[in-house]
Amino acid sequence: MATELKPGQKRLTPGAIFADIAIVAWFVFALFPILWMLLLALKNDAQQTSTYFAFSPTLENFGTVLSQRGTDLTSVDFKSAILMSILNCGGAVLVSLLIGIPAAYAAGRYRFKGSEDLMFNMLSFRFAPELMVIVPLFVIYTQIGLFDTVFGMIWVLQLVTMPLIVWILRSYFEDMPEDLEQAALLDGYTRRKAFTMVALPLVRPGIAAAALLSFIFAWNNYVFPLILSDTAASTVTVAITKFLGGGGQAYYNLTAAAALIGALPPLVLALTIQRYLVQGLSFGAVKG
Amino acid sequence: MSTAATIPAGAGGHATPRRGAGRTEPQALTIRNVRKVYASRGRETFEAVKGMDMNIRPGELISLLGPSGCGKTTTLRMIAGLETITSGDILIGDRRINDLPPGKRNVGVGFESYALYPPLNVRENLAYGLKARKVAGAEAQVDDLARRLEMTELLDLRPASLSSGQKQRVALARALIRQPPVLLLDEPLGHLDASARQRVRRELKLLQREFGYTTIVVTHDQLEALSLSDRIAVMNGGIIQQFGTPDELFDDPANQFVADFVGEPGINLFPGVVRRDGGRVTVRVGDDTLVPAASTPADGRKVVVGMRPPDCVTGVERGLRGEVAVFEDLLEYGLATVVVPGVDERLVVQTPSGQAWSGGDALTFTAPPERVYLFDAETGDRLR
Ligand SMILES: Nc1ncnc2c1ncn2[C@@H]1O[C@H](COP(=O)(O)OP(=O)(O)O)[C@@H](O)[C@H]1O
Ligand SMILES: [Mg+2]
Repeated sequence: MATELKPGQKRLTPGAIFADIAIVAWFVFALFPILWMLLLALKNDAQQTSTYFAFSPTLENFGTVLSQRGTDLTSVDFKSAILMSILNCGGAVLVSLLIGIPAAYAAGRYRFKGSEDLMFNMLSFRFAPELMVIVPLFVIYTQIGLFDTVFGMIWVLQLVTMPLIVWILRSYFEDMPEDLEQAALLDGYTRRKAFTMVALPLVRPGIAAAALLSFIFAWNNYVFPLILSDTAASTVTVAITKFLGGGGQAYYNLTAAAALIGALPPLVLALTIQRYLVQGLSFGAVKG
Repeated sequence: MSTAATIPAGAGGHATPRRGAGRTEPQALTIRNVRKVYASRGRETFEAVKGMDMNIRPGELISLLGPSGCGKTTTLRMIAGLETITSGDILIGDRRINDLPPGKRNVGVGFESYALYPPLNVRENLAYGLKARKVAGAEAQVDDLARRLEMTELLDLRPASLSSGQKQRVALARALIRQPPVLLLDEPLGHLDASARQRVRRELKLLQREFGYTTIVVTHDQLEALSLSDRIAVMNGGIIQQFGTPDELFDDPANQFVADFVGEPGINLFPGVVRRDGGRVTVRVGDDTLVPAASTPADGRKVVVGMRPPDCVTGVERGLRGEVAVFEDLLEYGLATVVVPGVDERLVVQTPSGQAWSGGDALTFTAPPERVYLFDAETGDRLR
């Protein structure tokens, strides 16, 4: 066993082989639902309930979901639902970043009276089941006219995006040595400039990671758009389920196709900022 | 804000300015009864600096020397304005700076953690502070300083690819580049290897002399403090134990802590009992007797005796009699580790070059009375 290994090469031991097999098995297990959904999306209406792997594949379902026929089936325009999702989630993340970055900085840098309670309070929004607050929210939303508006959705999605962004970024700011900003202060920069010119650029990977993560969480949210919107501001998650038919025929194949289309935007987003994401999740960028 | 605006133009100074614009007038730094109490919620308050007084003369280089946790960094940060001052005053020149923001105090700080900005290379890091103040000729100053601190080849590298010693030199350069009238350096040489440390130390002193920054160097390394400083403030537990020249600290320590902390090889400290016989004061150590210069202590008082290895005289009739346990020949002198009956501590005696001792040899030694220090056994205060 004395052979030299190239960098990145592993020695083949029974343990390592077993670990590799276990990882592959896990992948198959984890990816199976996605594979199943892909197969389902390629089946026609007649074959959709069969569990055979052999069938005549068709791309027709994707077209149907996006066409007038899809709209007729569900009374929701899937394309506009995607647009709404992008507007709602993008808007929610943007608002959360604008407010959350300074909040995270304050929480990471300063200990003030009640700061821990405040942070925990914010985190508890993530713990609390959405169903617990949805009824009062529904009443309030219908009364003050936020029901079924983009503004209303952006507002309620803060419950999803804000805690994530603040908590992730706070740890970034905490990990960043304070000396860097203090050196800038000594050089004559103002507190604000020390923040924007020194601290902020260093947490950019963290901002990318937090923004993406909260975007995905907001995108996947189902209960808020289901209850607090109808047709004008309703999102992809709600639109997908409409293909299952409320009492009418259930189109599993169309549902699968719609789900695949609905998963694309976050995926594309993740791939475009992948470079930042890797940096961001490995936390290495801050420590020089 | 330009540097020149806040510094009163004065004539004189002890070095020739190299560039008119860069030269700063030395400023006195006065610390008056300064205290720092850290109060964090849910924890007990902690007094890190307990009533500090220091008058530092214009252009003087002093060291804050003490074990870790004694409040050195805290003191520095209060002067820089990065930490609030609980009570007391800090003055640069005759201007009280307690309430000035860090950027207006005109102090340069070399951070122990380097505080180099990761996305910028060394050159940009150095120029960063100059740009904030819109100083002209930044490039030339960077190149000049880089040459003097042996880091020209580092200028285009990012901090991440530097060794800790290199980072330390860049951090030093970053503090020096603005040529501030007051320079504060937190452990500036701690991560350099031995030979680089000596060279950078000399260069630092040279730059300091040339530009006349009033400088405080924080260190826990007494050799660094002794070789760099005009005066040294020895700190322990948030209190300055003694503030004086290296010679004063060595020859005339104020208490047991200072005696113990300063000097290499370290001072011998061992218990003794004062005997007063008329006007004559002696100390009993085990079965033997030493003669100190102190005249105040009362008969029977328990003391700690301090005797520096280089002060020891061997080959005497009367003194401490012991047996050599180990002998180290260091060419210029020798160090004998001696066991004296009745004394628990092993004592170290410096012997002249050319003498060789071996284990088991009997050795009698003493020290001149003015080099036998007595300290109160309880408080550690010097008895004179
Ligand atoms: N922000 C702080 N909050 C509470 N205690 C602190 C803080 N900073 C330093 N201390 C305490 O103050 C004491 C002095 O610290 P410091 O000045 O860093 O010591 P030194 O630089 O001499 O090693 C230490 O006991 C340290 O634990
Ligand atoms: Mg320190």
